[in-house]
Amino acid sequence: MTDVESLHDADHPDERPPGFRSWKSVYGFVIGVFVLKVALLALFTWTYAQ
Amino acid sequence: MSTIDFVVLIGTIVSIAAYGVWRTRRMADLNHYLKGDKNTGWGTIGLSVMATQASAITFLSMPGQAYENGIAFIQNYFGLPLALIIIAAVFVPLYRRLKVYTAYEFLGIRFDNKTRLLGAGLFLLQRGLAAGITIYAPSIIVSTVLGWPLDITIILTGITVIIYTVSGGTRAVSITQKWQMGVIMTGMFVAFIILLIKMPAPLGFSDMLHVAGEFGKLEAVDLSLDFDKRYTVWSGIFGGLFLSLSYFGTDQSQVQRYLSGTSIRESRLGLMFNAVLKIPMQFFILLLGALVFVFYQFEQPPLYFNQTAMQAQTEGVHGDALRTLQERHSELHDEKAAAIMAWTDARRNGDSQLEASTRADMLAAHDRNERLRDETREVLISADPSISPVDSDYVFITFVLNYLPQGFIGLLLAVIFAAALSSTAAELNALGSTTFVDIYHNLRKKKTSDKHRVMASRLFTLMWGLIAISFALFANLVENLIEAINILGSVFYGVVLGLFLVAFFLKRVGGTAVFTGAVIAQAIVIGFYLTADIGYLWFNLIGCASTVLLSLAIQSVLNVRRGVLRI
Repeated sequence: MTDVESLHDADHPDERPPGFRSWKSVYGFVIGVFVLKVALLALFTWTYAQ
Repeated sequence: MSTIDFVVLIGTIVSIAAYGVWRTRRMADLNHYLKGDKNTGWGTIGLSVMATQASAITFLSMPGQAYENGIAFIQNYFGLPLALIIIAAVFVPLYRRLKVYTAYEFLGIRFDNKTRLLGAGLFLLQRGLAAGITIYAPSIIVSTVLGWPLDITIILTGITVIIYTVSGGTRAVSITQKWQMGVIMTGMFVAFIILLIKMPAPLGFSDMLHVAGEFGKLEAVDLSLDFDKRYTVWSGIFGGLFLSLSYFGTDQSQVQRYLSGTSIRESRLGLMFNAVLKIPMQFFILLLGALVFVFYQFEQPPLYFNQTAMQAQTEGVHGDALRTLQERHSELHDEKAAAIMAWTDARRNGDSQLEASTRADMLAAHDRNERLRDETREVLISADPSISPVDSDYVFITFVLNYLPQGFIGLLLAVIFAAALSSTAAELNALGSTTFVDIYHNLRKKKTSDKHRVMASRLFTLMWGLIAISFALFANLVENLIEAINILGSVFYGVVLGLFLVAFFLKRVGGTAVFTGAVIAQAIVIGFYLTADIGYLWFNLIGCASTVLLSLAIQSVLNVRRGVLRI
């Protein structure tokens, strides 16, 4: 059995995301964009479908 | 179809395929063939992932879906960004650092060979059948409306995709998918612009949206906790998360896309590209369908969108009944168009009383028209029971063929075939790779030259291409085949996801426990399928949960037997 956690080592410097401090901040950004999209879709629904 | 449309269609499809073959003509080693070019960047990976998911039926069916039921389907994608984040954070580093060619190879490293073979076998069974449908579904629609021979359409589509996928492997798939995605987005954007230009009534963009909204086509977000509703925010987030994790994380046709490329960074960015852009892209396609609905409020739509079937029955014994329905449809259409314009004027002028009365008029006219469509379907089905009551797949292509200028019709048909080729290529590439890596090479355990390995991979890809074509050719012998394939997929998908979730998150569970748990879980799902009357999407959840719980239970029993239980 392979201990898969041992493979989750720190990111190699070459693998850091461009323009962000860490991958966590990239994921935070993507979640923020998702929340914004849902809010805009809710506003769209409220404007045209109510 | 005019000559110029034919030239645009054939020119676009053949030139992209030829470019893929030419760019990958010096394919030397297996790593290159299965994992692609080492310089593949996140943009190509992102487009490749997107093109693999978007099959031709997406671009044929989704505008029709919005035309009939509105854009609520967008909520199905709400779980996708979260799933892609989990895959980028957990799945990608493991796959890449273990340097696996397939997702199932990871199961072999994490557990044992029998679990690897189980995962690969379930994938081959399910995706092997689905590849035939990916070719069949658009071919049946396009050949019906254009009068092309179905068999020839299927064979030509299949041969085109086989040529460049067998020849260039993963790199050819990625290169062609990038250009095919370019054609798809350009074509859909052009269709959107032409639709706005050709809108028959003097409406602004905001007026069009208000008309669509008034007929219930723009309800993008539904926060209700009603389980009977097919699309809500909650079913989208939770159901979508589950399905996307399974599809993007464990289906080799997707895993192979993001395993190509330079580094973990490129793979992750390719996935984040989809996490950000997928919802806007699907929204755009659905909005296009809602606006086609508005267009057809002023330009008379067909009474039944599969006009080939309608035409055949109009010439038959039910001709008189259908002609009478057609006359009533024409009268009602004019009445409805006038009511919508009166409502739009009242709304613009802020006359609330007139707005309310004209609104009631237009909705009443719409209801009468819907009843007329229902009557038409009943007549058609009574004449020929094989006619489908659902004609929404034909809505968008009918609009394209009747209203787009010459040349652009060819471009939009190229969109449909580009989408069919891009998703089929990824499927054949993944099927060939899995058969070679997880079955042939894994069981043979004999040292072979790189030349032999590449040749074997090519032959397996060719074999799956021929199976897909054969399956597509005989697909019309099975009634409701697309639904049958979806059911088959759901029967196996949950167990495969369960295997991977145990591999990633339950490190105490070993190979024997997870293998036994998965086999029992698969038997449970098949038992439910044969005996219980429940929606087939639930099989995913049952399969996944059963695999995880049974694996845990069996591991506990094994631990007790071995005397390693800690109290």
